[in-house]
Amino acid sequence: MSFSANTSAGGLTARQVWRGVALLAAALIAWMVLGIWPGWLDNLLDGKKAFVSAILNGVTLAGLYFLVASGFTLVFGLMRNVNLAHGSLYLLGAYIGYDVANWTGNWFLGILAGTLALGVTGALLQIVVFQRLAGDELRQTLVTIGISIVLADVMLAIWGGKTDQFSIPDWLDGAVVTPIITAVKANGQIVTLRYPLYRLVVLGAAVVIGVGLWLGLNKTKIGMMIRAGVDDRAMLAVTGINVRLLFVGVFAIGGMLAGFSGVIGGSALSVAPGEDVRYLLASLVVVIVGGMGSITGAAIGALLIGLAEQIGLVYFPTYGVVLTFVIMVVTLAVRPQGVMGNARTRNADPPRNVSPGDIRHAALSPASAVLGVALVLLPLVASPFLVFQLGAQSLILGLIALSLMVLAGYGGMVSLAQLTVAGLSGYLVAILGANSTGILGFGWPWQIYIPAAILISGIVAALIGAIAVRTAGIYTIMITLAVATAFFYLAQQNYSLFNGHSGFRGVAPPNVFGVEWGHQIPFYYLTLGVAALAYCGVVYAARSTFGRALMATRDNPRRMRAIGYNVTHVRIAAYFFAGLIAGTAGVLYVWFNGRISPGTISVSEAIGILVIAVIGGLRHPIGPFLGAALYVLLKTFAIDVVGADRFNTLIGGIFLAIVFTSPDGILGLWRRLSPKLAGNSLRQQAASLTAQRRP
Amino acid sequence: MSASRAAERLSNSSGFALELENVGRQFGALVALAGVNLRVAAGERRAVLGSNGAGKTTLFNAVTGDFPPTSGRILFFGEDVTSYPVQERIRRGLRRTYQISQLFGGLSVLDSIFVACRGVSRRRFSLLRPAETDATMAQARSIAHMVHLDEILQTPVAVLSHGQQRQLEIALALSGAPRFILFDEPAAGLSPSERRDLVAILNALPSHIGYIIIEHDLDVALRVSTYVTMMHNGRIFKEGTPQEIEDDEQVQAIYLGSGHG
Repeated sequence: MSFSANTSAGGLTARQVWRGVALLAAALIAWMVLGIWPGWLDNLLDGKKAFVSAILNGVTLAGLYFLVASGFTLVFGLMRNVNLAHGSLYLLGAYIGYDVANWTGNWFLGILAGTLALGVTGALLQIVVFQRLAGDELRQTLVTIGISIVLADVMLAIWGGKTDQFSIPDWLDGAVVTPIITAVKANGQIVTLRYPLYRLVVLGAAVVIGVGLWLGLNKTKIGMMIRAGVDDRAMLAVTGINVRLLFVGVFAIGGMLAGFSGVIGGSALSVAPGEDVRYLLASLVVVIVGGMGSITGAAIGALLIGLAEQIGLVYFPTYGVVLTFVIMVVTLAVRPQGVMGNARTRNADPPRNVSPGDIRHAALSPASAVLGVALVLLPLVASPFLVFQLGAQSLILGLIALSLMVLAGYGGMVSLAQLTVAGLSGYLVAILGANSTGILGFGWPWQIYIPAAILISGIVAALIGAIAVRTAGIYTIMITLAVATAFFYLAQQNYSLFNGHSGFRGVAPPNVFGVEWGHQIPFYYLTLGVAALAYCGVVYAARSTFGRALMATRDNPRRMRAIGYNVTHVRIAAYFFAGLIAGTAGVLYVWFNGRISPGTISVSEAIGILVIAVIGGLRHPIGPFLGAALYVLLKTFAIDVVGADRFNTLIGGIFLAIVFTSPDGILGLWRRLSPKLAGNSLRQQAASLTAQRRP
Repeated sequence: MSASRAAERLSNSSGFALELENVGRQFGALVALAGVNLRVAAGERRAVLGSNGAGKTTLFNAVTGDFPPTSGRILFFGEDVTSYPVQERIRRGLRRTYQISQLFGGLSVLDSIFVACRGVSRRRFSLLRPAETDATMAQARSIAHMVHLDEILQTPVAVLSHGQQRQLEIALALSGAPRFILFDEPAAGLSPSERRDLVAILNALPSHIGYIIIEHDLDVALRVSTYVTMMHNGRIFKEGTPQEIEDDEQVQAIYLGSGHG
C-alpha cells in the first residue's frame, strides 16, 4: 500500500539512482578505453597503459578468485562448514590436472580430471568425515584444518617442492589486440593495448560459471532446496527431502569448483606448494567481504580483492596486502555480515551447549607441583642441549598456546592470530632492541624495549579482537586466520619495517644481574620462570570476577548483556590479556631462535599453535604445555621414525585423531582412561556419573 | 553528565518507573507492536496478558533493548533510554527474565549469581579473586537463599532441574539492586508446588521493586499483580484491576476461550 509512496517520496527512486550510477560508470569506462588521457592523469597513474593493465589484471584475477571462493561459500552457505581445506583441494586439483594433461597431452582432459577427481574427493569428505560431525561447527572446522595439514604434506611428498608450469593449447596462448587505446604516436598512428588471451578466457569462464551457479540456485528445484536449507536445515529435513544426499551433492560441487579453478588458476600462474594457503586466504577474504554463503557476494568480494591486489601491486608494492586487509577491516566495521551477507547468520550468538563434564575449576593440584619440581630438576639429568632445545622450546610454544587456550577455553573464541601477536613482539624486540642485521635496531635499553614489546602486542591483540568480535562463533577462526596470513605476507613483502624475506638476525637477551641469559641453562630457567608465572596467573585469574565473567560470556552472551555487561568489552579485554601472554612468549621466542623472519609466523606455524592447544586440551591451562611438549618431542625425534619431511603428516594425523575422539585433548584422554586403567568397573563409573548429575 | 542525569531523574516527579510512548516494532512486513502506550508506576506490580503472538515478549525485548523498537520512545524513571544498548539500561536498574532460561551452563549456581551481582558494579573487570568475606559474594548467597537455591550453591547450572533453572533465572534478575523487573512467563513448566513457591517469592519482594509479569496462568498472574494490561495483535486493548479483567466478557472471549466461566 504505502510502498510506492515510500520510494518516490525522495524525488528519486533507488532504481533511478542506480541507473545514474551505471550510466556514469559506463561513460567512465568508455573514456578509459577510447580516450587519450591528459598529461596530469598520465603522470599521476604512471601512464594509461600501466593503469589499464592493472585494472584488467585485477578483473581477471577476480575471475579466478571468484571461481575458488564460490565453492567455499556454497559449502558454507548450506552446511555451515568452514572448509579450511578448500585451498588444499584447489592445489590437489591443479596437481591432478597437471599430471593428466602431461600424460595425455591434452589440456582439456587435465581440466576434466582435476574437476571430477575433486568432486569425488569433496563427496567422500562429506560422507566419511563431516557427516559424523554434523552440527558441531568448531570440530568440523578443526577437522578441515587437520586435513589441510596432512594434504599439504602428502602433496609435497608426491609432487615435490618445485614449481610446475602447465602448457596450455597454442591457440589460447599469446596476446590479443584489445580496443583499448594507450597512446597516439607522433605520426598519428594509434597504439592499442595487447593483453594475454588466456587471462580473458579465465574471466569468461568465471562469468559463465557464476551465471550458471546463480541460475542453478535461483531457478531450479534443487537450487530452491539448497536455499531453503541455507535458511533452515531442520525444517528442510522434515519436508521429506533427503538432506544427506543434498549435502553430499553440494560438497561435490564445491570440490569440483575447487578442482576446476585449480587447473585453470594453475595454468594462468603456476602450481607449487604454498599456493593452497594463498588461495585459502583469497577465499576467506572474498567471502568475509562479500558475505558468507552468497554467490553474488563472492563475485563482489572477488572483484574488490582482485582489483585491490593488482592496483596495490602497481602503486604501492610493499604494502599491497595491507590494502586487501583494510578492505576486510572496513567491511567488518561497517557491515559485519559482509556486503551481501545475511544479518541473521552473523548475529547467531547462541548459548553454548554445556555437557556436565565441561566444568573444570583450574586449581594448583599436587600433580602440577610435582611437575614443576621435575622441570626445575630437569637440567640435572638431561644435557644442556636437550634442556634448551626441547625444554625451553616446549615452554615457549606452550606459552603461546596458553594464550590461545585462555581465549578458546575460557572465552570460546578460537583465535589463530596468537602466533602473529607473539611474532609482532619478536619483531619489536629486534627493531627496538638490537640485532646484527644492520637494519633498524634502535638499541633501546632492555628495561624499555621488553615492556614496550609486550604492551604493544597486547594492544594489537586487542585491536585484532575488536575486529574478530564484530562477528561471533566460527567466524573468529576465519577472521583471525585472515589476519595471521595478511601479517605474514606483509612481513614478507615489506622491507622498510620488517626487512622482508630475511627478517632480523642476531637478536639476543641482555646480560642482567651478571647472568648471561642467552646461555642454554639460564635461558631454560628464564622460560620456566615466565611459564610458571603465566600458568599461575591464569589459574588465579580464572576464578577472579573477570575470569568468571569471561566464562559466563562464553556460555551465554545474551544473558550477559541482560545483567549489565558489555559483551564486546569483555571479549576485547580477554584478547588483551591473552595478547600480553603471547607478547611475553614472543620476546622469549625471538631470543630462543636468535632471529625472526616471516617463516617464524607463517600460516602453518600459526596452525601449529592451534594443533598444540587442541592436542593438549583446551579446558585446563596445563593442556597447552603438555601439547607443546608432545609437539616438540615429535618434531625432534620424528626424523628418526618417519623422516623429517613427514612430520606434518604425523602431527596432522594425531591432531585429527584427537579432534575425533577426545574434545579435551590428551588431558581428557588421560582423564577418561585413568579410571579404566585403575581397574574401575563400568558399573562404578556409571554410579559416580549419576552421583555427579544429581544435585 | 552525571549532573544532568541526576537533574533528569529529579524532574521525574511523575513517579513512573516505565513510560512507553507509541512504541512500535516491525520485523520486515510483520508488525509485532503497533504503537503501545504504557505507564507503570515505581513499585507497581503489573500483569500483561494476551494470547500467543500478542506482542508481549516483543514488548519486553523493546524495553530491554534486546530488539530495540523501530518507533516510539521508552522512558525509564524519566530518562529516555530508547537508544541505549542493553547493558546501559540494566545499569540503571532494569532487569528481566527470559521465557526460555538463559543461563551459564558452565558456571555453578553461586558463580552465576555472583557474576550477575558484579554486572552493575565497577569491579566487573577485576582480576582479583573475591575473598570469602566479599560483600558481593554475601549478596549472591542471600539471593540464592531467597529463591531456595542455597542448598546447591556449587552445583553446575547444566545439571539443574527445570524448576531450579527457572528459580536461578529469577535470581539473576534480582541481582545487583534492581528497581524494575520484567518477568517473562516465570511459571512456565513449573509444578503446582513450585508455582506456589514462585508466588511467595514474588510477593516477598521489597515494595520498592516494581515489575511487569507475563503469565498465562491466571491463578499466578492475578495473585501477584495489582493491575492488568491485556494485549492483542500488538496493541493494548484493555486495562483494569484483576477482578475487572476476569469479569470482562471480551477478555473471556478472546483470551480465556468461550468455555471459561
